Amino acid sequence: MTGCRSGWKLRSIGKKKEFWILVFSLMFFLSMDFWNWGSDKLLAGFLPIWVLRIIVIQWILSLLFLSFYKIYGGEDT
Amino acid sequence: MTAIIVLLLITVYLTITLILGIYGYKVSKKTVQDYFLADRKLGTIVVFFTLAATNFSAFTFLGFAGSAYRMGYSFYGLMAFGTSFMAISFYVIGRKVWRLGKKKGYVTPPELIGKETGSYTLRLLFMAVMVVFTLPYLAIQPMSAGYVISSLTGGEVPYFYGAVFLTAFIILYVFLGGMRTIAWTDVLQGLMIMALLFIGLVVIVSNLGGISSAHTQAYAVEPGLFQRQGTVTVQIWFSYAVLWSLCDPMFPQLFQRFFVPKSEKSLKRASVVYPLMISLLFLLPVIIGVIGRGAIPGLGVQEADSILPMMLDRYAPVWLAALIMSGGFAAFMSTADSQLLSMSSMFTRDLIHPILPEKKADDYKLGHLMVVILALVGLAFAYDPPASIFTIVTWAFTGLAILYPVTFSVLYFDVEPLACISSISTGLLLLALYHLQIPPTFGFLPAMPIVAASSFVLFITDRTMIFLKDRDLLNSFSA
Repeated sequence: MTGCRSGWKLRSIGKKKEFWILVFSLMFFLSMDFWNWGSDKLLAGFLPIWVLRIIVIQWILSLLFLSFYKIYGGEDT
Repeated sequence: MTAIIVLLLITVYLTITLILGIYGYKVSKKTVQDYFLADRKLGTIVVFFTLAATNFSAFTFLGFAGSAYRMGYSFYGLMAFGTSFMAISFYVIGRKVWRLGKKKGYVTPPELIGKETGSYTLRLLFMAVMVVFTLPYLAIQPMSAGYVISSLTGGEVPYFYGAVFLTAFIILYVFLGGMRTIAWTDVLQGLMIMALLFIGLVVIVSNLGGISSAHTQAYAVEPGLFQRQGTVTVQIWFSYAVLWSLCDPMFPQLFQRFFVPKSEKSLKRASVVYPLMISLLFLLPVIIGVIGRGAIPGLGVQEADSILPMMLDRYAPVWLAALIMSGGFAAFMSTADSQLLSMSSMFTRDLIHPILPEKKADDYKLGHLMVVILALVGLAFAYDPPASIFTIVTWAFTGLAILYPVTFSVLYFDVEPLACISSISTGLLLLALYHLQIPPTFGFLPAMPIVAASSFVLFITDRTMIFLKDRDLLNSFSA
């Protein structure tokens, strides 16, 4: 019952335009990565970790677009 | 021998494109909506590829590797995230544009902006900005084609012959099939770009002893290729992320594509897949550029732009190198044909149609005529390019970003046309000042203060006019 209620709450939050503006702004902020600017660690000996981070952010962005259309629906507000 | 293989591969590719053009012509309805917008009936896969391939110019294919040779992986960061984030515009701008286009029959971006605000002056200004910053791009496409053919054939086909040949071919299939053919060829070209870049990377890396070994060589030559510090600043990083999000959808050939899906779902699905594809596709030429620094160090700025063909020349068989470079050809054509059709539609609908008597204004025929005229203008520039053309191209992204605040406001608010005109004029004035290096940029790209100022002017002018109108002080003053 609690699970249903929290699921309903999440869906209700997901229906709000402000929530998605916040989520996409957060993704933009995370992509700036200025707190990690000097990093030069490599993954598997060739790919800088910060490049991997940008790739993952883009994949999350893709998932967020999918969730946005599923939950928010893209109606006019 | 090389020239024969190259010309054979290009002929096969062009034949397939031409078949698509002829088929597109056969199934078309011979109307304006069909010619310029494929009757607004393109499905999800075609919409995705036409949005993607149109945005991937020859620069994506050739220029990315050259820039990565100089800047390393930082270049990936500058290009990839902003372009992926731009997919949000498919919803914010694209969905609204699609709805208005379907409801009111708009064909061109300036037509939408002008008619929604009821201002022909704004429509012309909007068109002028789009034309001024896109026409030079259209003009440099035959130049790129000429250089690519000349380089692929080892100079056996002279530069201008290559430019003429490609221009004639593009005229032929755009003339025949319009948007439908262009969209279909975009699918072919998009798939070619992705597959061939991937094959190119695999072949080069395997000849360099594997991905780690190739990178170790590059690291030994220049460790800075793997870092941002010392290569790019946070302000520039931020600027590019914003710039791509703002300017990409303002390219007329991309803006116009928001009119063509048969449903909103196509745009939504495209925005979901777009970041996934960008994240991988942009990485391929960047990796080639970075490992190219290790394999062929010491190239100058201009030489570095040829690092991709140089690497292929050194590490791939002739036929494969030629095949992969035909991907560069596809990248160039997918942008050039779309620019040509989009510019033709604007000249026809926004400039010539309104001044012709109703009976003589046959947009379908005019559109075809403008395709030919504009392609020849591009070719004329390619014959003897003026120096100013490169200056305009350099500032094109910033110039087009100026249109974003106006577009957003027209789509979401009931905004005053004079406020839009003030905003664009302010942007252009600042662009000129920044070109003369007068105002400070505070470490950002000039596009940031320019767009901020034009947005501010838009808001302030709009509020002022409403204030004055409410008090009946502005009866006879409108745009």
